Amino acid sequence: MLVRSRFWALAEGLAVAGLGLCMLMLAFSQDYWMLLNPKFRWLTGSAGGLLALCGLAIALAPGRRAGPLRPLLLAALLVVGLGWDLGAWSQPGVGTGGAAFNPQQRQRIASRLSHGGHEYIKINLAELFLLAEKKPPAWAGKRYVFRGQVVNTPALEAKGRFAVVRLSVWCCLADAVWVGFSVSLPPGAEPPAQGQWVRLYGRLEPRPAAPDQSEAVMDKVTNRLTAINERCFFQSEEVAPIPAPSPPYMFQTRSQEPYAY
Amino acid sequence: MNQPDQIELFFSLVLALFWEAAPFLLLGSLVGALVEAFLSPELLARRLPRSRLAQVGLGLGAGMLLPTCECGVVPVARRLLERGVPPSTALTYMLAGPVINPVVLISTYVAFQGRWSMILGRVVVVGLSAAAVGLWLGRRAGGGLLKPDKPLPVPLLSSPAEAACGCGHDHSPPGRTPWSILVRTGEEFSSMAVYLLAGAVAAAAVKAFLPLEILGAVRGDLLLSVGTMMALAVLLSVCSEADAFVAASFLGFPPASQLAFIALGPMVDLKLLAMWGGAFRKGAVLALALLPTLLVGALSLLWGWLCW
Repeated sequence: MLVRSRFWALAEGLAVAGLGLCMLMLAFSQDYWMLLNPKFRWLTGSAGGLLALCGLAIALAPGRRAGPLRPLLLAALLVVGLGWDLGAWSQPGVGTGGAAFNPQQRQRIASRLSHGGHEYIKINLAELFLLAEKKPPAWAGKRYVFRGQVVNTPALEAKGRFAVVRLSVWCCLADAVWVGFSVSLPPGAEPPAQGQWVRLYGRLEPRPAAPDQSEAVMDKVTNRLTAINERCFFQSEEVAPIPAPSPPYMFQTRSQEPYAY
Repeated sequence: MNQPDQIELFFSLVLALFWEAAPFLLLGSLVGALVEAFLSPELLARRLPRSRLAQVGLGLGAGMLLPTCECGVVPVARRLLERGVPPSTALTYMLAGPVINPVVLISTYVAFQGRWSMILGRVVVVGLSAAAVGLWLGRRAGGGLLKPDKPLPVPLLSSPAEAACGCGHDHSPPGRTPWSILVRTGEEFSSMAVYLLAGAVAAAAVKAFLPLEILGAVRGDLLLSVGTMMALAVLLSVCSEADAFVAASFLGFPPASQLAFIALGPMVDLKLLAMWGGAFRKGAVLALALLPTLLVGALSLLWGWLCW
């Protein structure tokens, strides 16, 4: 039989208040995007403030008693959360590099790019993926430029192809999905290295046939749910190695220009 | 990805799942505390419809008009039941509310590129499943569904003499000051947070360590793919606002299996199972988990055979 006491009630209140403060710290952290979509920063911050108050209220509630289980579990979560907030861990993932992301550094950028005598629409992989699914195809005859990370498999290499993926986060890391395209190399080009970040210039083309298993399911390579588009492949005109973008994940998908890129 | 990466990923996923749900759980706890303080059982008894079908309709209507998330709605439903709201209304709202609201339907529309059949299918399958649970569990009094160690409902108590029943529970009217609302909110959050944490740990373990290669093998078969996607929906515990995007990325899977994923996930998942375990009796948890699972499976297969 667990003993309910005033001490554990106080500990429970302090653990809840600590979790609230931890959420507040997370909301102001530069690494917020590694766990949650930055559009929820205000929500995490305001909920953290309210939770800290609630914790204080239950810690000070007169005559309240509690058992040890709840405060101990919440305290364990608090330790893990503070460890994250204070930067005790590195960022897990495929080569994201842990780059810091400050949304205030974002600048207004042009929605198109002139390169090699052609005009390219700047777009991110999630947006291009959704565009490729549209009927009738809105992408025909247009050139696009996007950024992503190279994934190679022996089956793709045998076809002179590779895949480019980028992690798309809708709400939080737990619903993140790698999305991408199978890419055809321009004539004479060498395939980029596994995990290399690249900027690709080129066009979408309809797939002549359904992709085989090795292309459709790459989860073993990325170790996460991965969707390679099945309607189109990307016919690249140029593949340029680049450093990991900041942030490496995609948090926005727009359905028209200017795309989030 | 090597083993240390996997372990870091696991902890990151636990935190991501918990921090994502925490604001909604807190909001639900606050609404629950306000319900407890300001919604009198007498008022509810006068205003709520008597017919069980109308009560279910009210739960569905509330679900359409009041956007909520599946984690935040559990404490609200618990408090509603405690205040004497019939299970046919409270549980129908609890299951349908996180799905059939405008916010989630718009995200479904965007994720599936305006495929109305998918949006309509989601509303119908979830609405029918939630209504069935409401009708089934609505045969019993709300208090009988809740765990006995929680404060008991006081639907008909009206005087201090009746409140002092000597049963050992505190039936005194809850305080209405901001401070007492904060205390109730904090207590509700704390009691549900440990179950949310347990669900988040289980879901993160699945995400970090489950081999996903198996998915490729089942996507050609309607029955297998529906079953697999339903299992995934429960195990991955994706939030209802984001699950349509995750479902849409399961390319090559029959639309019926994608429908099963987005219909079942917000009604039954690991986080919810853990939280229900903290709020409801075993029988109620079993009904809340089994009825939607069976109905979503059957309706999705039917939808798959009829429409595709």
